[in-house]
Amino acid sequence: MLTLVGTYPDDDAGIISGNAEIVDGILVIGGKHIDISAGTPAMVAAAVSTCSVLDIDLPYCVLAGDTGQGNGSISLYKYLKDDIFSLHPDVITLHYITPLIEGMVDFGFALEDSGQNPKLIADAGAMYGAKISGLGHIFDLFTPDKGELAFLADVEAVHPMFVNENLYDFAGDRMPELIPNASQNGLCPDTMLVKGSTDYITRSGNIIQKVDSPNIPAMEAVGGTGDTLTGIVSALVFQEETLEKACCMAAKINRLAGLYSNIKPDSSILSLIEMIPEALMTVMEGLEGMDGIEGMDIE
Amino acid sequence: MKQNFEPDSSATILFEHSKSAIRAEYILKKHGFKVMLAAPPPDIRKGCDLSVMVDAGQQIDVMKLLDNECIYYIDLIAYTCGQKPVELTTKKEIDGFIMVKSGNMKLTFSKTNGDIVNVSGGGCPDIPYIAQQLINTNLASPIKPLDIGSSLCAYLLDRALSEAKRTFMEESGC
Repeated sequence: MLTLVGTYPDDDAGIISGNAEIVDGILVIGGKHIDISAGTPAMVAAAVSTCSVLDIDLPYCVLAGDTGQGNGSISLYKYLKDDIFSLHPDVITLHYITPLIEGMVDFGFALEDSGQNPKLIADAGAMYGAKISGLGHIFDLFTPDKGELAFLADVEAVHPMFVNENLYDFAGDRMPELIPNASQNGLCPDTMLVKGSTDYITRSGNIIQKVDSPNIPAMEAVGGTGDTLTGIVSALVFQEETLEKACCMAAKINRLAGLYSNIKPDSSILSLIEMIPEALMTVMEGLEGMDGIEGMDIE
Repeated sequence: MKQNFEPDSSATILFEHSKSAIRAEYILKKHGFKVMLAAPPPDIRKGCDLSVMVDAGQQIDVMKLLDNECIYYIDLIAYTCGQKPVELTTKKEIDGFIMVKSGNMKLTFSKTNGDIVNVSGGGCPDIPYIAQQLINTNLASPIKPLDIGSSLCAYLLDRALSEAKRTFMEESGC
């Protein structure tokens, strides 16, 4: 089971759970209809779209409404502590949630008590929480952007707001310098997918793959393009692709979906999500020859 | 203007919620105090919470003002290793739109009319909600991220919005 956990923008802090589907451009989970916008809904929708094309089980989602008051996040941390391992998930992706050290540590203990070994992926607030709790190493994959990489590389920083500006104020081509810093401090998983104008797949502080085409600058401006990447890679990991191959494929699929949707800075994320099936088919069929992926061995 | 504190002459005020810290910073600045948002000391952090650094010599006046303004704080401690918030903002033009970045937050607006067309980045739960309120409004709108949310990401987005407003005024010759 692929289990996706995160908050969505709503005042109702109660847990909604169930298999997700997309109906007429709306996400439906446990009978609840949720608009597909940036954040957890975009991540879930991208995973649903990817699983549908791959013809694998649709993701099981555990969501709670949170507009910043924290109540939904607290509901989710309680679920992560008490309930999630009764689902026997194969992959757990944690997404938008208020970063709370206590909640994340409880999740770590619950994982240990369960004796289970699901693949763990974190992005957004869950990634911040995992890092500041010192639990990044129990995860299999983080998906930071450039600013978040600086945060991961700064041992002292408790949030991307508090990052040594010498780390923040760097050009994109200095990314390879930061990756070993983030990896060596023990606060991150062994593998990371660092998203940006070039997507870097890293292992143990070394860049092992790069994906840089098609290059679409507008994608950085559109809210949710990082969330869709996390959703796609989660589905591919659930399909039992290796982390490295899943990251390369996801980066390529996300870029192609942006290209096929003719994405502009004023586009909505839904337009990209609608093109994921076509992009996935292109990558699966190897029609692009995986151009732009250095050293990619798609087999 | 950057506010620098000498490590041995500063005090840190701790708050239950980051929203209170942000409000305290606003009120204290308004009354002319030297003040800076900072991360709390590592051993008492709950998560990505916020504290406020003030000049140690002004701490009694600061406490009086916060009491008068009914801003509840947990404690005031001597503290010597606060991390400063990122102050860097950058801009990038893409296809007739300008994207302003502040830390991990990005806000994009139309160069032509100042319409806010997208918000991206961030990981705190209030960001998707704030984005819904901001997108399709105009930079002239009175909506501010910190009026809606209270996370550190919201603080950075607020800063990006201020920079976007300033940039649009410059670009349009206002």
